[in-house]
Amino acid sequence: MMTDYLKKKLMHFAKSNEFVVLIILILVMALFAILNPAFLSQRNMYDLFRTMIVTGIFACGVMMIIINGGIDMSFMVFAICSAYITIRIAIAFGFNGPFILLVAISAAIGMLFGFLNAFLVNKFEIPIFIATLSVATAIRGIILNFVGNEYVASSEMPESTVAFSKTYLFSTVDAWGSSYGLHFSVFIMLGIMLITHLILKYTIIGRGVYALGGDSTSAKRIGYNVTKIRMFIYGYAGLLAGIGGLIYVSNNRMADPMAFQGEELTVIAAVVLGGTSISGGRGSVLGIFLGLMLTNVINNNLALINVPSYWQKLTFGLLIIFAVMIQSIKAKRDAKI
Amino acid sequence: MSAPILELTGINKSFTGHKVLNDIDITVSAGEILCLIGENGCGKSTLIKIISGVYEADSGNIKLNGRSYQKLTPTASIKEGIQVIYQDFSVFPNLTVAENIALGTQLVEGKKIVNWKRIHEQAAKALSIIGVSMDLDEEVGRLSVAQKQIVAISRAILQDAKLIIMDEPTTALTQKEIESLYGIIKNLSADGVAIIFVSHKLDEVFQVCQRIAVIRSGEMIVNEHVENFKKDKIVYYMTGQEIATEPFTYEKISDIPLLEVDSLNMEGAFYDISFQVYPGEILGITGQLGSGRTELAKALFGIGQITGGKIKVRGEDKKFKNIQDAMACHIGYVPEDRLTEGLFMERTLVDNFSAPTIKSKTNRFGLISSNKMVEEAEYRIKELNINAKNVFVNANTFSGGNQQRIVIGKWLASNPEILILNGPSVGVDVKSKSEIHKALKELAKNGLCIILISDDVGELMTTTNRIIVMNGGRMIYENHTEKIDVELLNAKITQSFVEV
Repeated sequence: MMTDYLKKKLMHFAKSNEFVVLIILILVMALFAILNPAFLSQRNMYDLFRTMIVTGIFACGVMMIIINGGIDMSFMVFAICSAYITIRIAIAFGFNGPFILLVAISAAIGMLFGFLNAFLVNKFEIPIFIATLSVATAIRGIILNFVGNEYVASSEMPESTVAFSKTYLFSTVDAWGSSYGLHFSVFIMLGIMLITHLILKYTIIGRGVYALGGDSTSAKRIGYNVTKIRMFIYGYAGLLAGIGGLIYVSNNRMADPMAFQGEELTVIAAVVLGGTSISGGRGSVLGIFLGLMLTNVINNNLALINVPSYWQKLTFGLLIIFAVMIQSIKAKRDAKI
Repeated sequence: MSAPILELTGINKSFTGHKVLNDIDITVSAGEILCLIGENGCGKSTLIKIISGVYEADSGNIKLNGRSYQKLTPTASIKEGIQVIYQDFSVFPNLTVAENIALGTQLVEGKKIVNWKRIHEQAAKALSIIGVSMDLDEEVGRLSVAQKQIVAISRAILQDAKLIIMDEPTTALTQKEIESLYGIIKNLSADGVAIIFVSHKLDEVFQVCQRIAVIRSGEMIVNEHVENFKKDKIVYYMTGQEIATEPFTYEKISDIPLLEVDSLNMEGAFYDISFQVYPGEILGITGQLGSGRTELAKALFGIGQITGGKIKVRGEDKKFKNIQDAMACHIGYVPEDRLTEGLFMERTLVDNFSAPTIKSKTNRFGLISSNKMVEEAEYRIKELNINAKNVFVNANTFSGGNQQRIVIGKWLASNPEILILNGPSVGVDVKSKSEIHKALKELAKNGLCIILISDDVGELMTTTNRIIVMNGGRMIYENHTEKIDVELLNAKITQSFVEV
């Protein structure tokens, strides 16, 4: 009986978008491993995870918004803005407390920004793409006007942020005597991914995100409060933006208000590559994790095998076209059944 | 007589000064099957929305299970056991069968955490009440229309429905599926669940209902037990006028067939189809859903891959690789689903009518002439008797019957010689239907060759001069309409297909 159940689950997985991404990921990793044996080294893997942290945190919120049938063009601005404000507040008050408190402040600011998006969509029914894009542009404008590109250097940053950026686990020393480890933020990312998965899979509101993306009228008819779901989704995405922003700023040991310009699409690309349907209703944390791995493996390693950076962009573009093509072919085939 | 579940007295409702419902009284008792009929726009949908708490009545009294409601909310209505099954079934294509059935219940129960085991149990229970088995983990988007409906009914049952309102539930079902739906409805009724069945199809009303209520322009015209009901009176009740249906008589115009099809094949859809159509004919092609009728109609319009056989237009061999090829042979196609395939809903009549022939609407500089477009639209509105204030209104503001006429008009603008119509009167009320039929007969008299794909036996009998029945992708019967009667046609359509 149990094996039947397992078999069914496996069959189901084999038909999913996530499976396609997994296969591509394995093929790409195998290719790099052949071209450059150092690829599979523990150190390189640790580095790979490290490059995923911030995008990974953002991707969770962005995925939720896309499943719900929307799109977010504002999370990068929210992230840097929340983190920058938090750092400046901390400096102004001569803050010397724990890192977690700074994260909480940044997350709260991000969440308020998220509620602003939800408010615009709920109250005035502005299309979400326009709402997030214009809010993002407006905030960039405010930053430019009041702070310009006046960044906060590591010497001025609160001590706890600098300490956090040096927190490693599983530290080892390699053959040449230099030590390396897995950065602690990787676990924060994994934790957020786990929480996001649990919300989407096991809470009524999480299922509401899918229901709303599947058919918003029907969601209303079975009794979902659409306004509340939107508040939740955009609030959550804003909160993650705040957390991700602060981690970025700490790990870079510099709060640059001009960071993340035009980087939204790399995150959205990873989310879509991970099988999240751009028309809403479909997507999973496992999918975006694989999508992020894939984009990061390609981004980080093309340089290792001496491919010029122009070609990296081309490969990246082609890969997205390929992934979306597979999705649409699959959707067409499914529709015929 | 059991206690009434629903008691409406003196319900009035107006929208911006326009009276939609006038002093409506309705009582429905446990286990009763009431049929609510009326033309499009008569106020049926408004009434349903008042019962389900979506709209608030201007005056009147609503009593559910003996409790009076001043202001009925959707949640209160659901709590009293009122469930509406909309035409689109309100299912989520991206979720599984189990979740579609049981999610709403968990939500209404005020749960915060999803209990997947319970969702599966509840869904299985609901399906077993109806007596249907289904894969609970299948995504609903992959199900057939009939299965989606069963999901919707199961969901209603699970929410302890005492009254289920079904809005035109048989529109997209095959004959067999309709019969099993009747079975389900009768079982539910035996269990004490009341049903309000909203319908356009007059035949089925008598098969399934115990009482019939007819609404016309917001007024309750009759509300009678089915035994006391005169079948031939229904149309009069609905429209306020007698609609005479005369059979169509074909007068020969030419000896040369306009369209000839010779042993046409499409792998997996239809096989060995041969027929000829002459100018002025209305040829009916019928069969159950999945009989290949739609695929055949589309193939004649250049959609899909023909794998064998010949198509001749005016005696010349033609190959239809795409729609453009078919249009070049003066073939027009009015699709089955006018909402997604037939109309630009958010555009004006002017735009809709001119869309297929936009190239002919240019001035001497090669730019689009809006005068020509407006002229075209005004001409078609008159020709098809479309009820429009002017030509600048959006297509989505019209009722189903008018929309269907707009689609037909759109294709007439391209001056076709052969017009293929797929289910032209699905979801259209009696009066609009008869007007569409009148228009089609008129067009045929003027030499247009019409191919009418339909599963409405009444429609086929009164508007065609020849009928082809398809089954399992093959032609199994062909005869002149005057030599066929309703029973024979029904029997041919529903007979189970024997593999040759």
